[in-house]
Amino acid sequence: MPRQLQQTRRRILLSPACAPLLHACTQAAETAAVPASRETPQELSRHLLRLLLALGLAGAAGCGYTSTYVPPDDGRARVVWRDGSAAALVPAQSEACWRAVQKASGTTQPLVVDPAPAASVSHGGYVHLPVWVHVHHPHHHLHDHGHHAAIAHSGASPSGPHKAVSAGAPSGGSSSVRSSSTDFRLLIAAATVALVSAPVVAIALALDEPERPAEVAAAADLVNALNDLTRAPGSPCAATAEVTP
Amino acid sequence: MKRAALSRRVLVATALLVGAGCAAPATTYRPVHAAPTELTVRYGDEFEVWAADAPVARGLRYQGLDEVVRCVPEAKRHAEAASRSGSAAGVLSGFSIGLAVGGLAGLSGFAFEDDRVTAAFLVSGVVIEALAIVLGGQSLSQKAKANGHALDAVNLYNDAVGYDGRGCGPAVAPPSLP
Repeated sequence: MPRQLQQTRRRILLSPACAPLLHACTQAAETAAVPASRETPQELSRHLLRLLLALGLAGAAGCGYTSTYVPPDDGRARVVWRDGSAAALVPAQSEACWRAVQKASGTTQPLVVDPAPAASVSHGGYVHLPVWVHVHHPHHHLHDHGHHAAIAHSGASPSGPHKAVSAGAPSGGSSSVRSSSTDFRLLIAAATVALVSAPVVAIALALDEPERPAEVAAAADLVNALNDLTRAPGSPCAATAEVTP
Repeated sequence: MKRAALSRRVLVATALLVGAGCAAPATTYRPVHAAPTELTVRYGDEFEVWAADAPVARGLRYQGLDEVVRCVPEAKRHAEAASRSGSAAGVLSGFSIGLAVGGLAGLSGFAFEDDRVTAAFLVSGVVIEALAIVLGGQSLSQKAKANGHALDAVNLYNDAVGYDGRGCGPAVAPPSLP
């Protein structure tokens, strides 16, 4: 196993959160270690791009932040950070309360409460609701945890392309001049494709947001409306919730 | 003439439709029963923390949040971490974009006739781009940390003193020099 690959594996294993990336990272490192001379330009550039993407994922690895906050059981809703984005953590409420929340939050989207959300997680008497707001299909959740989970420590060193250079370079004069020339052409073609594509990936990562704005806005509106209604005299939420002062 | 007017209308309608489709999602509900000291989370183009119907901090740097929650040590620690991560995310994004653009200089290798020189330039560019991608990923990670810490700070503060209206009191002004 090439030394670079071993180092990559070791670094990735240091971060348990990066485990799902292990395959992609190691595969990319393996492909980077393959001698370039047997590859077509398309394959080589694909391997290079895969390596760059794996680097980006490794750079973003760790999901950034894992909150350990556990709310007290006081009947209030909260916006919390879960699975790489913000989510509404709400106490169980009656149907009438949910309808009032929908009306109060002024959303034109129908709020649909899944009575038993499959992906819900209990937190000390609370239910971690996926943002169950959707326009078209009542049972289709907008929330899709984990996709933006991004991760922390860089896993691979950017030495892959260097290695590809040395692999493709003529050494010792045993190979023919034509072969080494072809290697260079392949390398140049692959590097050009990678070089033109990589800035798009880098800038997209630099400008991207970890949260999903529509879900965050919906979660914040839900929490604010619900907390308001639990304190509004005569509201259906006030009747079902015991909010400590 | 009629055709030109029709084209203009189609263009305007298209622009309006595209603009409406690109509008960033934002919170619309304004809390009315929140305690004056309670912090609420809203969202425009970024996270916003509000108290008494006025914004006190916004992402990614969350400047001022640590001052608002200063009397709850754990919340203050989270608020400071949010501010640090937000600043780091900005720096990392800047470097990432700078390197991503700078790495394109590797294409100047085509100005040389020697394939080896061309390859050296291109590979150097790719290495720079790889670094840009790593920094971009790190930036994303820091943004997540900033937002996560900020939400924890808000929740911890509200649990301790926000909901019950105590708050941390007015900000302490630094002693004036004689």
